[in-house]
Amino acid sequence: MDLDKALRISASGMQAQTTRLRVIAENLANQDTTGGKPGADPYRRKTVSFADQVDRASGETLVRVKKVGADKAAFPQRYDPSHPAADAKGYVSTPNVNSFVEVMDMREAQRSYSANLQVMQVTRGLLTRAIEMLK
Amino acid sequence: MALTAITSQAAAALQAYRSTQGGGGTGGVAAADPAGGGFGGMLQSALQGVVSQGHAAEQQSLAAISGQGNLLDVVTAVSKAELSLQTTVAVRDRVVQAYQDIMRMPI
Amino acid sequence: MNPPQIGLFDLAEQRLKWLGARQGVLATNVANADTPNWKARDMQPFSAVLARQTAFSAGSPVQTNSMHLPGTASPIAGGQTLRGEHAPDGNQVSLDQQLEKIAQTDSDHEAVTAIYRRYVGMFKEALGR
Repeated sequence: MDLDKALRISASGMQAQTTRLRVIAENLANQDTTGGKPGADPYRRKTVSFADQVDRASGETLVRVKKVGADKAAFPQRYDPSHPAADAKGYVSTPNVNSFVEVMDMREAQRSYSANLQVMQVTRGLLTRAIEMLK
Repeated sequence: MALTAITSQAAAALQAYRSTQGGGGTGGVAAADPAGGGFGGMLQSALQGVVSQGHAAEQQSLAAISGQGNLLDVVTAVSKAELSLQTTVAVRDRVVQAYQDIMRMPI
Repeated sequence: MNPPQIGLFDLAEQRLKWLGARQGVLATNVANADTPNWKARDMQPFSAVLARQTAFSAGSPVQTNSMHLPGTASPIAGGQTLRGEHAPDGNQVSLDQQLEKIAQTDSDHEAVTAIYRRYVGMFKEALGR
């Protein structure tokens, strides 16, 4: 395998992790977003799933975000009758986002991202050294 | 390998030089001969180790390239071989130069 | 073990190609560190590649007609799956292990290129340049 292909693969890994971080940021930003009207659904947590797909242009197996899906867990209920989105019983549906889980996920994504970056730097070092052999 | 060919070339050139020196046979040359013998002997001994060092360095390098072997051994062997080669090349160049100088001398 | 008796420059080129291919496989592992059911892969050891190649070249197919396709084999093709730790989604990549292998590949690459350059330098010197 060419070293250029290795660079592209690492780049695709970094891009996938960036998408994952973006989704995590969305989740964290919306962790208190309830609905507007009584009985309306609040923000539903988004999830990211990866897959390795063959890139049509180059024919290599790159990693991509297969789908940004929704977490089907139930919305936790909070008792707050004065809230505009409170239903008949006085309960408000809050988003199914757990900030601890999101932060852990973010750390994991960061680690994967920096690992991919490190690999890319090493690959570039190999290429540079091979070119220097010409001197 | 080419390194051994160069080494044998240098040895042959040195032999040629010494034979021309021996064939000259004047007083000045005779007086210079013991000192010349010492210097020539030093050169000869320096040249003798070159081929074996070159072989050793090559074996070590092959081992290192295929992933086995101690890197420190490779470094020392290759450094020695390179130094010997540089000595040989310097000697070869000087000997050839001296030979050409002698051949140019009008009789 | 006896070092292989192939020419030094040829051996260096092959090893560099193998190291480049290995870097690609390891990069794929790291990029797929979160893909479900992805198993970590690695190359066959270089000694196995060499052994197969010397065995192959001993009985190489001869091209009897210039119109025939030459017989080729790529001993550096592909990677093999290793056993490792499991994550709940079936992913089997250990980032630390991969990064360690990449560091090893890097230093091997450096050693081989250094030896190559040294020998090229010696040849140039012997030629008087």
